[in-house]
Amino acid sequence: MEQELISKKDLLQEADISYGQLYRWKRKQLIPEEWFIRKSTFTGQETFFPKEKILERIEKIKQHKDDLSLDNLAQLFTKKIDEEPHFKNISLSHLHSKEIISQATQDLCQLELTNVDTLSYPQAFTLFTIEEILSSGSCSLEEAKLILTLLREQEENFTHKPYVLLVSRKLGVTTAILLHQHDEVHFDSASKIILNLSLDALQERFKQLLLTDGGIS
Amino acid sequence: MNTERKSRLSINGAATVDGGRYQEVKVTGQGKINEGLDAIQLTVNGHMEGFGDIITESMTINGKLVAKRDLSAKKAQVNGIVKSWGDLQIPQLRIHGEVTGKKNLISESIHIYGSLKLDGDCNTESFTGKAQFHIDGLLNADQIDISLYGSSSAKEIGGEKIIIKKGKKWNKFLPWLQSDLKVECIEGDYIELENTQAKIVRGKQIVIGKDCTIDRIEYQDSYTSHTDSKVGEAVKI
Repeated sequence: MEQELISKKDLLQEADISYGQLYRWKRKQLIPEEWFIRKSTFTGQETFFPKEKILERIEKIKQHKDDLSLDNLAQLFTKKIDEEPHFKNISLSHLHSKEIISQATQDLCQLELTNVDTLSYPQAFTLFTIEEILSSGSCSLEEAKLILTLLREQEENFTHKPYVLLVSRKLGVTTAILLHQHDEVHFDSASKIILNLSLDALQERFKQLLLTDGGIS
Repeated sequence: MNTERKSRLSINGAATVDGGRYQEVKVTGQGKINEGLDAIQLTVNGHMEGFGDIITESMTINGKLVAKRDLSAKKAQVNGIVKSWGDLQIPQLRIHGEVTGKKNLISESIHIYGSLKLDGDCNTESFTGKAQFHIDGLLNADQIDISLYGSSSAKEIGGEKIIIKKGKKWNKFLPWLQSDLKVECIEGDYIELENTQAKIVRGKQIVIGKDCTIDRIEYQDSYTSHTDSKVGEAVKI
């Protein structure tokens, strides 16, 4: 896949950041190693970045850097969720009281979660995804149940893989698909895609909520 | 290894032990640890060789520590020699001797009165002292303030403030001591150099002191150069 590159010099200018910031973010793993692409130019070695990705990432870092520490920010972007105490033992009642998870979602998911208040990160994120789907209004309760079953089955995987959730409807029959972010998918013309949700982006938002609001029990 | 932490392991003389979790480990003499070691406090006054991962809160090495795998210590004072085959993770590191690593060193504060050799990268907030260093990868540090004692090298150096000076203390006694730095690329916001050979230096403010050889300089705000230094070309970006 051909992507547009930007040189380090141009990046510093365009994003209005300093060498110090760029190296600090690299150290803190806010910018992944693979984005640093080395190429020889007529002035010697230079570093290039995938333009779209790096500009988007820097925009996000700038947005959050006042309310989150750099270490917390790194957790938004990386898949590491094991070490952060905010991501362990998430309290359901706390999520409820902060209005992150609504009663409707709880009722829908409660079936298998009776009397349990502490959730693991994947469990909590599943709830958050269902909440998102229900509040978007694009799916019915029955369909949300279908998606819930799918997410539950893949719970251990989808938190550390870049998945996209697709829901399509054809002649009144609903299908939910978990898809790797970069895969292509084609539907026949009679199918209508009713939901296209990037779980990666959603996780980023969820982690941010946990880190700022604190979901610890 | 989620067992109770035992209180103390002491090796006086020569001994080989399995490893485990301890409050305090002290090696006076020669110790071999065959498996992982987890200790709050580790003191080596002789020679210790660890064949598993070593995890410690605080360690003092007055002799020699050889780690065949990863080594992590929240705080370390090295008065002798540390050799590591794996990654080094030491937030607070003071070197009054020598540290050699085959992989990367991740730290927050490194203070050196001695030498540091790394085959990988070095990541830290501050990198200061009177030192000789060889870093085959990238030295990435927010603040670098080093007086060179002995010839040093790095592939790349990047950070906010980078000050490299020639160590002056031993000039009179050891005039043959070559104190210079060879590096391919230096990038930072404020850069001050002495005795440095570099292919390219990029930064906002650049001050080139004595005895530098720089092929190309790219600067944003300001640039000055000592007459003793050779600069191929300097371009304002």
